[in-house]
Amino acid sequence: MGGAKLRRGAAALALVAALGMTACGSDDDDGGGGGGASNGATSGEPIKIAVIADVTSQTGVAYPGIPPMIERAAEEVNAAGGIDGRPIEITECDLQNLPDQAVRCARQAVEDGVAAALVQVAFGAAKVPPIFEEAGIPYLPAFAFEAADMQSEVSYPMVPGVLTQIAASYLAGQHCENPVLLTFESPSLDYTKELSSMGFAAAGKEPAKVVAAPLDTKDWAPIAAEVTADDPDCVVPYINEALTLAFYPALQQTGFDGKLVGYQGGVYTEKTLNEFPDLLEGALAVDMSYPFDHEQWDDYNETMAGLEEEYPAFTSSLVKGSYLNFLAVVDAARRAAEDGKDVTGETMLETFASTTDIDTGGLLAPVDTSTEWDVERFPRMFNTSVLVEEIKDGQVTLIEDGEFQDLGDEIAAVANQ
Amino acid sequence: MEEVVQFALLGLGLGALYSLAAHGLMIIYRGSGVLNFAQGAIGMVAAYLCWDLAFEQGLPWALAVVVGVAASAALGVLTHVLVMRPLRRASSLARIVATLGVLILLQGLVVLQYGSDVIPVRSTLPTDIISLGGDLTITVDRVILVSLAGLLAVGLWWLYRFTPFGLGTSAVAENQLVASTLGWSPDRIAILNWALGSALAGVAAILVSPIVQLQAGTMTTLVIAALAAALIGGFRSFPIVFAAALAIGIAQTEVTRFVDLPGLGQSVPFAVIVAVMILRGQSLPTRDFFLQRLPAVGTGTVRPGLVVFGVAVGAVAMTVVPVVWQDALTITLGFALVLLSIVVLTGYAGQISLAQFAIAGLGAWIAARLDATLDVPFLLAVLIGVAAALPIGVLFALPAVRARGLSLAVVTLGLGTAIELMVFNSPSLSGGVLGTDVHVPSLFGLSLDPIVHPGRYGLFALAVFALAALAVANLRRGRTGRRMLAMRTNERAAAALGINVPAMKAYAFGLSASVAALGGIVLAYRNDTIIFSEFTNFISIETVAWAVIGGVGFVFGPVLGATLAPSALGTEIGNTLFSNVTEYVVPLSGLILILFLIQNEAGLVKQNIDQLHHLARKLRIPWPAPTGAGATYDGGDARIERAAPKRLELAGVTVRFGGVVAVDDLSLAVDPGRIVGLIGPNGAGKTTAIDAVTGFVPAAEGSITIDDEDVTRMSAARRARSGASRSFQSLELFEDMTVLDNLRTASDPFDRASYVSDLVRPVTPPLPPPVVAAIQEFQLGDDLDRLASDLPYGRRRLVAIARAVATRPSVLLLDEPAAGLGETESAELARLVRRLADEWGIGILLVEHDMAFVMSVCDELVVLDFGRTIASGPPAAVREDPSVIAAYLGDGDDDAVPAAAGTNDREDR
Repeated sequence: MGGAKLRRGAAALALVAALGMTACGSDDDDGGGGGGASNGATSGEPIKIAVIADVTSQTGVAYPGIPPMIERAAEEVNAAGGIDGRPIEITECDLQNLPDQAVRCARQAVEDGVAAALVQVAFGAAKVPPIFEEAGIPYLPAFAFEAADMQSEVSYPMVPGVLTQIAASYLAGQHCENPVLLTFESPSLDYTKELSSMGFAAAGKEPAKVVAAPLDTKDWAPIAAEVTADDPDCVVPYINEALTLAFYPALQQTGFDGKLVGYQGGVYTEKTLNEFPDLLEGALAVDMSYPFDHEQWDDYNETMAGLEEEYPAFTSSLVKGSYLNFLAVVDAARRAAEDGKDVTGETMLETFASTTDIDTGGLLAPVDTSTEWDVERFPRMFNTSVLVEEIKDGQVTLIEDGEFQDLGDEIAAVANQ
Repeated sequence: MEEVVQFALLGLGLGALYSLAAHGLMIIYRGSGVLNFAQGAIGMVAAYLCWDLAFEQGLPWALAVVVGVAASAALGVLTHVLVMRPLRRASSLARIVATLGVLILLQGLVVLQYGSDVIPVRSTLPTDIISLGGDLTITVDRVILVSLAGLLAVGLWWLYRFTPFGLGTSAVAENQLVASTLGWSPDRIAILNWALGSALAGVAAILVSPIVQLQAGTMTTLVIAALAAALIGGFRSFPIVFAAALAIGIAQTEVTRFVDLPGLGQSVPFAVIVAVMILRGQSLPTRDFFLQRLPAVGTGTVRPGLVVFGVAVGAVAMTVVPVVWQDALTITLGFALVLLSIVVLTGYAGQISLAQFAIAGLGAWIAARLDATLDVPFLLAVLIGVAAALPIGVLFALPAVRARGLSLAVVTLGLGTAIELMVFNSPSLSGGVLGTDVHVPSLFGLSLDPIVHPGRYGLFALAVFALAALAVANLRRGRTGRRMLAMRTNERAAAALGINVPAMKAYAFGLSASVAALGGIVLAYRNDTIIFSEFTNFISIETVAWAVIGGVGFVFGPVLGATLAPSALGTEIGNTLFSNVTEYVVPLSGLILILFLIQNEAGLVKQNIDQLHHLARKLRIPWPAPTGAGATYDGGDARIERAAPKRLELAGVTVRFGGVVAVDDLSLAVDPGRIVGLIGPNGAGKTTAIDAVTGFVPAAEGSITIDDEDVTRMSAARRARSGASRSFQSLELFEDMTVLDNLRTASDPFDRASYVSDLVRPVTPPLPPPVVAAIQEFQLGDDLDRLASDLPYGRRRLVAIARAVATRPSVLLLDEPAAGLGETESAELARLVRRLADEWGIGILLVEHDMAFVMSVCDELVVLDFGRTIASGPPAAVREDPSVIAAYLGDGDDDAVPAAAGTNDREDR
């Protein structure tokens, strides 16, 4: 509570001292911290949900669209009556792409008394779980790739990045004879290779040749030359959009005419699709949810109208993942309230632990969070279903009848070997 | 084989990028002496502007390029006029930090305008593939880039070799003062070079942006790698830099392709840097090199009351504030330890290192890996991590023996980057994506779990910092600190006093590495899983900036400077007050950094001390005057102890500089108590002879003995300890130190144990009787607590001689001691020198142009002309020697070598 007093005092000081800055500052009217106030449809003590994200960044990619997107989503929920009549209140913390901010933001969320936290963190993901474990608060990582996100007892990833990495190689194993996997040198290199090997093994294939580009690669021409040296029929990019934008021109220059296969966010994003339509023709990708222009997202797009133009990277998988996590939290909160419980971190954990079909409005396959996955390395991989997409004539279309494919059994069979 | 050639061709593209970046760096360095860390940022602005105009606004590409390049040129000029010019008298360290401020400001503004997302840039150069036979190919755009880089190298070579502008730049780079007397304006030259260098940065960035794409930090990291090429070219030769850049690009590409070791390829430029410096550098600066000025340094005085009060306040704060503030304080203290290591290394020892955070990470890595793999208890792991960092620091000192200033900064940057790439980003060494899981830290059974007990962990960090700070303050006040400061100010003079400069550097690097390791451990153990890739070397550069802001010469400076670190106290305050405008904080912080440096480059601590002094004076509160550390002089025992009698003998000594014989077959002897004068016209080789005797230049032939001990191959420091001491023509006092500390440094006993004992209990030995006698003899009693730089010229000359005498030499070599003195002062000095020989028993070799002085004191003269001995013997005889007269005047004028009063008395000695 001493912290709350300090914050109120500091807020008063900030109001005076920061007037000059805010006058020429952001025109983001949603502001920082405290969106989704009560209205006529809701009343009572708000249910707080923390949004922790790289809202600003000097050196990496930032996702400034996440907090306003979640706030709009919260407003929509509140307009429809909130959670059992109680409003949702969003608290926000900017990670600034700094590793130690993850600790700070997690601690802040605990101090704020949130019922759950939506976390998108590029640096310092491993620092978050211990704090939420200690506090007994569930957190939902936007693109769970870190081992800690897959093992923490309070982590409930709706969009496990680990799955897409395994599934991407599974897909490549199904469709390619001579694939090459491109990733980059980092502490996660061996981990990436391991996930890829699992995917290929699940498809009954040997692991692909791996080309690891040095961190901070400036000229991608040598990397592209190395990737295409053995005339692969497929290239499987395990790199982010920033690196893809630099790699694809170099790949085009080699005259590569094979297929790009991987996961949405690695193979393609909206930006890369616009820039390299020819290169991406025929590409295959796994996705946790529907393509960004699919009708399933119509309601979302209507709610978020205007934000896409205002915020970069709005259609990225991390933004989408944050929204899907929010829907999961709302569903769990409603269930807790329906059971007559006060919606707190503790009751949210209980609810997640007892729910077999978390509903995200059909954007994901129903997620059973009551049972850990039977793979020792990734027990928190509750969602093992993906969609498979193909890029045709510049459009992303679903294949495999547009149905979610549950790869849980195939992957578990090789992961436990 | 074909694949090797193919990748060599591919490496040419990268090499061209490096060449373009390096040339811009060189131009600015040559024109203004500034290593511009903002070079990449300036270029980046041009690239963004060009892209915006050409692809967003629809302007013709050529016009967009012109506007972009003009903008970068203008930025360069503004940087010089608004930032560098006000800092022209500041230390090189402050100027480097100022460019960092410009980098932060520009990067922040670009992100504000365009975001941090990557922007794809379509190539406007053709990208068709050219087949070279077999499977060998290269694309047209790479050929164009390499060709452009080559043409640029040739063009710049011609510009700087044959044009007035180029010659003027070279003149100013050699000697600003002389160049300005010849009509060259250093400021105008600097402006033009900044404009040209920045324009080149813009050209480079625009050309390479289709390859690297547009993102705020990309060009900056490119520039760091380009430093390797610039260094190989000595920041002078454009063609060599071009060739080196291509070679580095090819080597990097080949290593990346064919060697499966993460990070090795990216480390190639830095390995090259280290190799070049080790092979090329010099162990001691030449006669004309002065270590560039460094910011002010504190006295290391510990006021126990203040320390207790400060620690108590810190402990209370750590206990009562909310958890997020506890974290911020702990992070501040961890970084303060890293900055404290910079106080030792840069503030005290004058060595610029841009690798301290990487070393901090290494210390954490050692401790954490021991903890995780061998279950070593926390305290033991910490001690081992700190101890193991010491030899690592000593390894870093190896390049420092032969590199200094800017070169040393670049070498350490390279080493630190290599550590980051090859250790911290290595999956096998760092624990991979899982990081390194460590046990919960505890101390004597008390849990310091930073998650559960963040306050306790913070108190631990506070205690560690307090102890380390006390040790560093002790170091400052002790013998070791004096030696470090002496080395920092003037390596040549330090060696002349018997200080082993390489060993001192090794000690400074080793100790600072241990302190940095302590900081790294404190920072790392705040988490139960340590991710070492967070120890980025770019933060090493920033730590230097924070240290300068806080006060790089003051023990409390790190506490203030560390508040600026990410997620430290400053961030927390900013988050609390300005949570809505975070994106403005970064460019504002860059601006504030620049403005602060301009206003006070000595740092916050010095500024605060000065302000408190001022306030105390206004309020008439007594304030202890700053004195030299350990500077009590109470008169003491002023006995003159006769020097150990030793004879100096030179036999056939020859010194060559390339094809020039500076000293030719010189033979002479100096007996105890006798004064031998070495005279001759300007350029005769007199100072070179002294340099040869004292070990500052090597003798190509001949031998030098001190009392039958052959010192010909000994280092300068060892010869000084053998009993030969000297003064310098240019005085070369330790300007940052008081007169007393200058004398103490000369007279402190050499005691290896003091390297350790000074950290705990610095002992200031009583002044030896000869030093007390020298103080009285030279009448320096009233000047002891004054900084050497504050004395008038005549007094400084006396301090220089007194310092040489304070080493208790058997042989004293005086190089023009009377230069610039008036007749009366000169006569007094002559009497003093005579007494040193007669009463102290010191043998003196005297170089002097003042013939009255020479004739009045010398027992014997040796006359050099063009390096050869043309006469020797008693002064009266030498004075009449026709060859001597001819050497001075060339026409046999009998009055060319004047007599002095009492000259004839010297013939009998």
